[in-house]
Amino acid sequence: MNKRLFNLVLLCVALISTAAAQITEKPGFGKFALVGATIHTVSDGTIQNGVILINGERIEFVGSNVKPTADYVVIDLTGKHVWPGMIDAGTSLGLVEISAVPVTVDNAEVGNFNPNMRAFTAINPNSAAIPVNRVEGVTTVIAEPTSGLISGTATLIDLFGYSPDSMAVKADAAMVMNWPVSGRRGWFDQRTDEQLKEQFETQLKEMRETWNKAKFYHEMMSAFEASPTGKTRPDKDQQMEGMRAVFRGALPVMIRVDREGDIREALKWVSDNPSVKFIFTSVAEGWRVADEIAAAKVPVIVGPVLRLPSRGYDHYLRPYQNAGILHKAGVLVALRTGQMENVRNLPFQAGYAAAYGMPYDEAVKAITINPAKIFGVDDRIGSITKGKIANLVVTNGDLLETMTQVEKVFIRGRDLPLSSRQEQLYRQFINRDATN
Amino acid sequence: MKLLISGSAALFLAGLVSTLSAQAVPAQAITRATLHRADGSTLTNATVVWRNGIVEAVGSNIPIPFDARVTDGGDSLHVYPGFIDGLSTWGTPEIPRISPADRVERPAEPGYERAGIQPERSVHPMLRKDAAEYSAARNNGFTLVAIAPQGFMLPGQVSVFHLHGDRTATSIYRRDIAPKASLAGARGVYPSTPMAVLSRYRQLFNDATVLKAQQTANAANVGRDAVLEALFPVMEKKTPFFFVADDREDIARILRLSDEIGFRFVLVSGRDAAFHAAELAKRNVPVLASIDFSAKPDTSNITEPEKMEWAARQLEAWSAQVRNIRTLMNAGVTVGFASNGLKPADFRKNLDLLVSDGALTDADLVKLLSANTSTILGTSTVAGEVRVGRLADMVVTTKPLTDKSFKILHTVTAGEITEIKSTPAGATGANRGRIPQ
Amino acid sequence: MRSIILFTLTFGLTVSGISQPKGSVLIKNATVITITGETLENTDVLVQSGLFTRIGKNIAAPRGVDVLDATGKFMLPGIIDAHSHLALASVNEASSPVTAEVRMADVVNAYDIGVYRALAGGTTISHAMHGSANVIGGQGATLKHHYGETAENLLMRNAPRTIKFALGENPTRVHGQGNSVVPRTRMGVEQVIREHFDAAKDYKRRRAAAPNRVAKNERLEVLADILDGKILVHCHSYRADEILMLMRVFNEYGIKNYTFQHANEAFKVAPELAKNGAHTSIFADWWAYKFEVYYSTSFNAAILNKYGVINSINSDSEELIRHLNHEAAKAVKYGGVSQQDALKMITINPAIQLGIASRVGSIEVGKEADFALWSAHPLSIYAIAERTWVDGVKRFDMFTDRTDMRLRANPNDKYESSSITESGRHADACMKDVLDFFTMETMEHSHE
Repeated sequence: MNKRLFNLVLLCVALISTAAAQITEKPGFGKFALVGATIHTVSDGTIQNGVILINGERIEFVGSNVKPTADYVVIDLTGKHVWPGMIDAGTSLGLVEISAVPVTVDNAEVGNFNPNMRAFTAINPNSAAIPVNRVEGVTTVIAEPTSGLISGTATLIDLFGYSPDSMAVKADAAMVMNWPVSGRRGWFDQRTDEQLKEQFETQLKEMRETWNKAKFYHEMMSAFEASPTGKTRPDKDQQMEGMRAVFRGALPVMIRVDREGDIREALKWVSDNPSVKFIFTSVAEGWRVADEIAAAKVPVIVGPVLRLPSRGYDHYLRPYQNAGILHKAGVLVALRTGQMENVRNLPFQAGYAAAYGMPYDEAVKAITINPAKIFGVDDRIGSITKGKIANLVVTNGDLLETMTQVEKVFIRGRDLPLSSRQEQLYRQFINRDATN
Repeated sequence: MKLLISGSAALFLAGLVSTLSAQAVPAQAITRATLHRADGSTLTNATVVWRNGIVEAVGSNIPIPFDARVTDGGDSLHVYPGFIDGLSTWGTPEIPRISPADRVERPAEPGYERAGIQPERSVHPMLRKDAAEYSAARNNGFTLVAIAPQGFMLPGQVSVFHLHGDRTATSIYRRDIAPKASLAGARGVYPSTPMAVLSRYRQLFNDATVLKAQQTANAANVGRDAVLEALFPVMEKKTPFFFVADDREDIARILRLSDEIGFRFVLVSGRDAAFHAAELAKRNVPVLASIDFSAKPDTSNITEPEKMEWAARQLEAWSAQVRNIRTLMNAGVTVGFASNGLKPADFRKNLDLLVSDGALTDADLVKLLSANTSTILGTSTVAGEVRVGRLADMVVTTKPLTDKSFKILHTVTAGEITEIKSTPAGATGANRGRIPQ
Repeated sequence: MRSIILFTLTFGLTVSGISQPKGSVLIKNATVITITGETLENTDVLVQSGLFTRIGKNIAAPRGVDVLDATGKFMLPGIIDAHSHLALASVNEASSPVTAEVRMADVVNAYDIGVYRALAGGTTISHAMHGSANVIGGQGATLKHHYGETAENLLMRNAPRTIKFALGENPTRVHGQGNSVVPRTRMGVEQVIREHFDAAKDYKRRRAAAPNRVAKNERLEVLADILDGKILVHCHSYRADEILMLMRVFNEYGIKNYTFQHANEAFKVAPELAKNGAHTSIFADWWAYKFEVYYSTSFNAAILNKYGVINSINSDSEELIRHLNHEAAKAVKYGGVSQQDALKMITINPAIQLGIASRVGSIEVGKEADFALWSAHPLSIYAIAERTWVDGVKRFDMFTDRTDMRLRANPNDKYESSSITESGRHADACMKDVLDFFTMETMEHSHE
């Protein structure tokens, strides 16, 4: 039994009566010196036998050969590895508690055009799934709305905090747009070819009209705001207001698109709107269009990597190779699980990408600094760099390897207890009294 | 091959002739035509004489009765035996759409009817009188048609009709020759999937076996059960199922089931049957083949190497489909024809494909469309060839069927001539989709 | 058609009872993970006519047997998936709470590309099960992944019969909520099982007394066979209470040798499972997709293993079946199961649960030669299955296989048409066909 579990088992003696209830242990906070570990900075190479000083929420120092002063709590990490906290660039964590129980599903609002909806609003900081996933080293996620054509804004949050406000890295990180789907969604999709085509074309038309209307609204309001004198203030439209940040260039549009033909159409949309920033997400068939995506300089969030080939005749490895092919073409690539409950499998998405052609360092970047860049927060998170927020993961080995143990997680400088309901259940039942 | 349906065809025919010949009805004749036969031979300068719906004489240089109305072929007409549709759905009601609101109380035990188990059901009471397909099919050269109801696993009996246009529904020729069968689940009730349908066949045979034994033993309180009783002849292998299936794995399922519970069957549609050609030949399973081919894949614009490989496979798959009948015939399978939902408007196009891409000869077409289908339906002593004493069922064309430009001039149904005005454009208002099988 | 048609697929229906294809090969210098014994470095394994015949050093190739140098490669027995719906033309007969008579063997779809993709993940056997719509579903089919053969040759010869049971939300949702018939609750689920077992007993007695008067009943015959111990029960279940319920009922009716499928809460009753000799077959980490899996833990495998419950890790998914080795590694990650035990969970343990452990599940002389060669230790995330053999016949080779490995093409297909599915439990294969059943839109199943 490894050390972490041994400690947990010891702990369970004290906690057994309340184990299934709450995570009661408070995180450590203050000044920490992490010494002796191999530091994978991601941005500045690897430091053997390194030192990281954490002061409050921030990384104060990264290097080696420094002896921390006595006010630092020294944590000996000899033989361990430190990595930036992992960022999952596409999840429903905090928005969905139990997928099949509709009243716990808060990522899919009614309607096709919902730019005013904010994932940030519905984040439940106390979701049981949050600790389950963060104890495996995912410190930050994009939680995204999913329904309709324009779903609302995705939020970028750290996985620790008592409120969405205290968790937010960027409360509104991107406007989610679902590109109309020209094909079937799976075996459960019973629509006929004619229905598919008709629905696709109707949706595309609707999206174009709504987009143009929103653009006009923005231009009209901007004109009014620039010189209101002598003009009648136009009525405010809540939905249209939601799109204004997009047209100002302040909020990127994250287009969820998978099929080759749809990606090409979406690329046209991108080139028709030069003042708007775009991100593509999911992108199952991105490998077919890699050069065109690269030429358009659209960053891409690939995932899940562990998925089925989209066409019967495709080579069985294409989904695993997708991220690597896009990277090779010159696309800025991040990864996503697309999950709520198993965001913790993010490193394995990167592991498969690495096993099938993505350079290892790039696979690590795809779950750390690249998503930070894509959402414009690489000045704060995504690498182990002086001055950045102390989101760190300590492991006993390769971050992407399945059997690797996460031994410590820091989020915003907080040394989090590695406790979650799943581990509490383990503690409660591993030594169950067999007679009761 | 052995007659599938033993019956009193000859007696029936004798009766027909004797009753009708009592009246002095004028004869009819076609002269100076080329007669096409199933054995591949042709008779040039042929004369065909018929009266009362029955062929009286066939040959070159034979005398023409004084009372015969003559159609002179002028050395350019071709006469084929009338085409026979081995199984169609012309004039039958569509399967009613079932909405969730129509859900039955206990979907596990829906009763025979709702489950689609109606092997006792005759088709003629439900036929529409005015179905446009009757005439459309006749315009395509068809003179005899087997019709069975649409439905699920056992929708009802196959009956054979003369294609007399609007009088088809009442021109019944052979009633209830065999039950139509399929692996189609009843929507929303048991059995709803192919796997449950297979189990349901087993159970029906179990139940029929016990009922038969009880009735034979004259046991007290033995009930009647029309559904199970309709299965007796199939169980005793006196009558085959007309089993509708296309997919090769479905065909394999039916072959296994027939081994397991014991029945003979005619495979209907069988678009993928060539895969089992050897097995079907060995077991003497005839096929009433569909010619409802997929559209030829359009690969003209494909240039990328990866796509070209894909396109080649598409074309191969299409080609295999169009050559299905050829492959079956080569293996020795008796192949007849079934429209089984094919729109009349699509018949000619696909017939031409059988020649251009399906590698069928003139003799093959005569077998497929007439002789073999007649054999399979058990009518070979009365239909399927233009011979003395048989039904005067004929198609008169401008050119051989293997010539793409042939046109049908006349269809003769039991002696009754219909002039075909132009190349049939199909039945209007009858654009039905394929029935689910 | 070019070389894409493989093996007997060119011959159509094969005669039942003909033995499955068998091959011979000599693997040299592999690291052989035998599972039931030591892992052997630099070892040769000889396969003759579909069986492992020698394991050792410096084995010379008999005449006509191909030799493959596997230096640096890891040889693992073929992975066995105890819960799959691959290669099936239909999955759920959702019209009745009990459909014991239906047989998945009747509806094997040999053309499912998913079988090839599973082979490419080193998986050689899958347990093709009925779905979870019914309390007592249909009989399972144990499939050998002879991709390229007909359905008959996919069926593993002489594999014990199995049947699917299902407890909890799925049957209560389909029948109770959907059709307003019992069961709508877990109480009802128990009574459905008891009623049908009792009916089977009564039937058996009545039929024995009057075989000419009482027709053979396809459903009750199967239920009677369960009671006679002739069929292995694999029961879809999640919650601890329903697991306990079924063990109680089975004890009462004298049913032994059964496996709880999914069993997300099995860890809560591991001692009871061990005491009854019940097995479990679980997901490595899936949870929270419905309420009955909310109180789950990825430490399930570790707890069950500690209590000595024979446990396997399954896929229930055409995606997960591509990387069950990775799923097994999660048992090491969560709770420190030994690597050897983790590998057992995808090889010999599922073999035990399917009643085929004397034939497959390990590399031992005399066993059937189902195995794969891996580029690295199969529990590593970087391990790539490179070649896979079934009964000594190579069915997958990443170096020589074509890109398009479909066994047939559909001329109606469009080049661009694609099906994008999420991984995870969003497209719940266990409930396949149920949607068909409720929408009543179509019963026509794709065969391509």
